[in-house]
Amino acid sequence: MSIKDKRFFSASSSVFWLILGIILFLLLPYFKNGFYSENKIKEWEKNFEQEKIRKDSLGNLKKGKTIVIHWSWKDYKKDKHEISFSVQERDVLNAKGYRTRYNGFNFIGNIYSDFINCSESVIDAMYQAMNRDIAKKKLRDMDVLNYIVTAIQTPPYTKITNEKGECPCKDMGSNWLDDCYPRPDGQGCCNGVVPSAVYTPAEFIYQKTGDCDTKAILAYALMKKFKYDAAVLVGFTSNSIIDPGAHCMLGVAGVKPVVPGAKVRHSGRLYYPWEVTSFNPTFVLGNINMWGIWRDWEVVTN
Amino acid sequence: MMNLGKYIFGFRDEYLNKVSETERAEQTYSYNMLSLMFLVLITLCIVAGIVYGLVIFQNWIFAIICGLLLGGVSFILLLLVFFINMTTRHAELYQKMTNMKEVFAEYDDHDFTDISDEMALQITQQKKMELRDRNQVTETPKFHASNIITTTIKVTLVLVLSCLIANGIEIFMFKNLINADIAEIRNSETIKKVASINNDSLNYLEGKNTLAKWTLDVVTEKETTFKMIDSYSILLTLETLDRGLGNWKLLLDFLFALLFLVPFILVRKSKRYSGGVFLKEVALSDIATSLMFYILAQRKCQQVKQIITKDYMYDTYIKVSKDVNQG
Repeated sequence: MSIKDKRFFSASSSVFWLILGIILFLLLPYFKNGFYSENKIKEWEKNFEQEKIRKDSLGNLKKGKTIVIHWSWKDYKKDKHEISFSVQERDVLNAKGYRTRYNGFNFIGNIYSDFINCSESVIDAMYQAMNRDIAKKKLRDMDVLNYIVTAIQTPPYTKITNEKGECPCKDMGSNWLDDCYPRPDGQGCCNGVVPSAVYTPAEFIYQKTGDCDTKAILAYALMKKFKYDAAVLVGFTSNSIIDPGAHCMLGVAGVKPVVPGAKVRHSGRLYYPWEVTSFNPTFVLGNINMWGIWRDWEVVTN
Repeated sequence: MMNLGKYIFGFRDEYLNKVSETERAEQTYSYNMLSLMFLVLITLCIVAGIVYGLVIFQNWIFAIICGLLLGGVSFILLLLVFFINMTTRHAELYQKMTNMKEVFAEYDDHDFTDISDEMALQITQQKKMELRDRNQVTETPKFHASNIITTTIKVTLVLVLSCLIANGIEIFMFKNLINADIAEIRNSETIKKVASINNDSLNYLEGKNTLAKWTLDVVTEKETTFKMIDSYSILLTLETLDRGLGNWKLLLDFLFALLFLVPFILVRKSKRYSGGVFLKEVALSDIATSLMFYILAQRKCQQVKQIITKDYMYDTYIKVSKDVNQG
């Protein structure tokens, strides 16, 4: 038998008995506190603590004050962007008041236009901050479009309903909680938002809660300010989880789509759809592959 | 020296009659060591089984039955893994043992009709000695793609077993600290508050409420005396242990995995086993026994054939023996 094999045998046997020694040593009632942390179970207990339900984050606003809004996000290239801008609380409250008093029996395109108009000062504050940042970073062409849209996509999706007491609920294959807040788990749900379950851009900028149309109209308003040919598109979509239902997307014309495919013709212009509901690296201009069905789309605001 | 290997691996002294005293001592030591390691592992399996039994049943009798059951299953599985790895590195012996036709072919033309049992034994012994003399050098087994699959299955089996045993022994090691944590859970006002909420459907508390109720259900009642762990649930016990130990648990699990893998690696890689004289002699004995029974079977065949040739005419199928006709 070779010396090498003798060494291998001795080493392996020693490892076995050494490990057994360590295990037997640990069976003794000493030194265990060094290995075991009793605080960890307290951390686990914290998981059972009940979360605060946020019904309406606009409730604390007072007229006459200026508030600073921070917005940070990453674009498709994973470049980080951050802007801060000041808005008057009065402007946000006025936009909310305008919405709640609004006559709901109106064409949806007009509602969107009116909501954009009532939020003009707040949208403008955001536009100015973005414009400064874009100039500073010397962004051009498609990078500017991606910059604007990813900013709107980034706040987590929040379900908006126009009936009171509709949240919590089960819908579209998900559980929606009675929490009107942009929850990171995407289960936020806001009750009784009239008319048409859409927030004004000013309200969205302030509280960052929004679903497809709330986000699309802000993206559209910002695009317009940046002089792009944009539109708000409305139509029907469905995937394997949800039944076909009305959906809203941003439309952009005069720009080559990243994923060519669907388009909406309006007044001789071709508008390519852009999913702004939530951030996803594949949700680029022209991509509608996230939807199995995509039909009856039209421009409602441009 | 006590021969432990005899009881586990069938390491009998008779196999080593033809080898030197040094070699015999070395082989005895190696198999004793392996048997001892095996017994240690089985003992750990029994202890782990008792721990699991105590948590589930809170009863010593059922716990001991659990321990014996887990010990028995582990005994069979580990022994199987050891035996599968115990193949001799004497290539010719291995080849002949797995395909005896080669050995038998050498005796195809022999007439065994009048051979006695003693003579058959002599032929067998001669073959055995010839093979023993010819196979002095060991060879490293050749690699085959199927080795990857079989080794993966064997290692997975050992690792699954080690993981099971590691958790049981760790519960035993840290039982007092786990019990302190479980007492904390039982007395937690936060958990009690969430558990007491009814009609909370579709709320985000839905999952928490169920988990809180389940948690309070599986810890033993405050007044009940428990046997080892203050809970009926292995899941809660493991959750508590996992959180308490943190990364140390990974280290302990790794030590247990190593403890179970070392004997396995030893049997596979050390020449004391696969290249050892014991496995060579076992292979020789196996070949000799098969050859002995082949010769005896051949003898009987040839005798029967002779009688048939003498008593029957194959062409006509007519019996010609007077004795039979008269009968």
